[in-house]
Amino acid sequence: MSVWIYSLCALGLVLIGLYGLVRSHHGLQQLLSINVMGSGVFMLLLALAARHAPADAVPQALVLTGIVVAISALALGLALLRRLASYDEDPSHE
Amino acid sequence: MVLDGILVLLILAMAWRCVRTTDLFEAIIVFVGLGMMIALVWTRLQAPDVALAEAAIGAGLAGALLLANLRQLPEDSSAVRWRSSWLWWSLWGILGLALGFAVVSIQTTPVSLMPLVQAHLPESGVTHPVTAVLLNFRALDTALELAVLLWAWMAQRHLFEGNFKAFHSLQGGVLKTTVKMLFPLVVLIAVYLLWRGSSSPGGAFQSGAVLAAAWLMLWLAQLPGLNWQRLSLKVGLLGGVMVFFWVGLLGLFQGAGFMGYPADQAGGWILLIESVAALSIGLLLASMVLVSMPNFQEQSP
Repeated sequence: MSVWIYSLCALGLVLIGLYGLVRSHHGLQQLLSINVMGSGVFMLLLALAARHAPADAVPQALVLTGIVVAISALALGLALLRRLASYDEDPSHE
Repeated sequence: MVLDGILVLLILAMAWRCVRTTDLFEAIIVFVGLGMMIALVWTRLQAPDVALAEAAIGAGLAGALLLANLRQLPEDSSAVRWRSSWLWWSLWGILGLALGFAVVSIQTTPVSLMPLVQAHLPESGVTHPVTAVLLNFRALDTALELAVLLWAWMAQRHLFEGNFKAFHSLQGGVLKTTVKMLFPLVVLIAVYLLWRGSSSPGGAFQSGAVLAAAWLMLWLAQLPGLNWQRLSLKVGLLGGVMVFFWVGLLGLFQGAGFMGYPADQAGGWILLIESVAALSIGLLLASMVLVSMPNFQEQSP
């Protein structure tokens, strides 16, 4: 039963994240929205894994990998945003 | 059941707040809180490994990274305001319905790889199924993931070339003493997580994230941390990927295939890879946050 609740929550997170990605006009908040969408995907994977007893280890390992990739993407996104901001301040730069 | 319902409502409300608010600082704080709530959900879904990683990386390090970058970004990057139109809302609704249908239909086909994992667990060298999948059955995925982390760090470093060593230090005797007392304890927790990983939840990722937090504490308190110019540090950053691929190649020569280990030696190789990987993950994550810290010298000339 809780699998259903969390599957629907995953759906909600993806939709909220998509809304934030389109609506917000600051890059940082758009990155946060992408991460919210990612959390939704992770939640669906883990909810599906929890249907079995014991829970399926393969999706869990996938999500563990995904979390590290997500933080790498976040760090790179923030670095690109800052570079873009410094370019906007001073267009003659490089 | 009631707890699940409350958690889901809280998570949806926090996610909504995080994407709706116009205050970026608030968005970050809500995002960190959301990470903690999601870590609770992972424990409810019988995924303690993922919960540990989410609490340390998704909530802890992501928060530090975001806050370090916040002050260096302009208030508003574009003047264009988004106006909601019926077209967008109907597309959003259609996507929601389609995804809802997909979620419902996927529930009716319960496929589990767990019997397969359990059948091969004795050959894997470890007794915890998640560690077995990460370091043995799907070792190539994990190796490539380490490569992604390394690549992201390199790309980030090149974007900020010049102010690499700079960091915003916090002074104060209380902070220094606290960090000195906490540091050995945090390192002990990291080693414990690594060691326990072979038989119970824990492993290289969780351990690496805790190590990253320990190094960040040292740097923030201006205690002698690690010197960026030292060769040993560069080796440490690259070590995880290198050792992983070397062991993978060794498997090729021993006839177990690329990224395969002979069953009797698997435990030892996995422990070696995990130790080096935890060190690399910790260093990479810590330096990702540090590179983002405001340049202290530049701000107060």
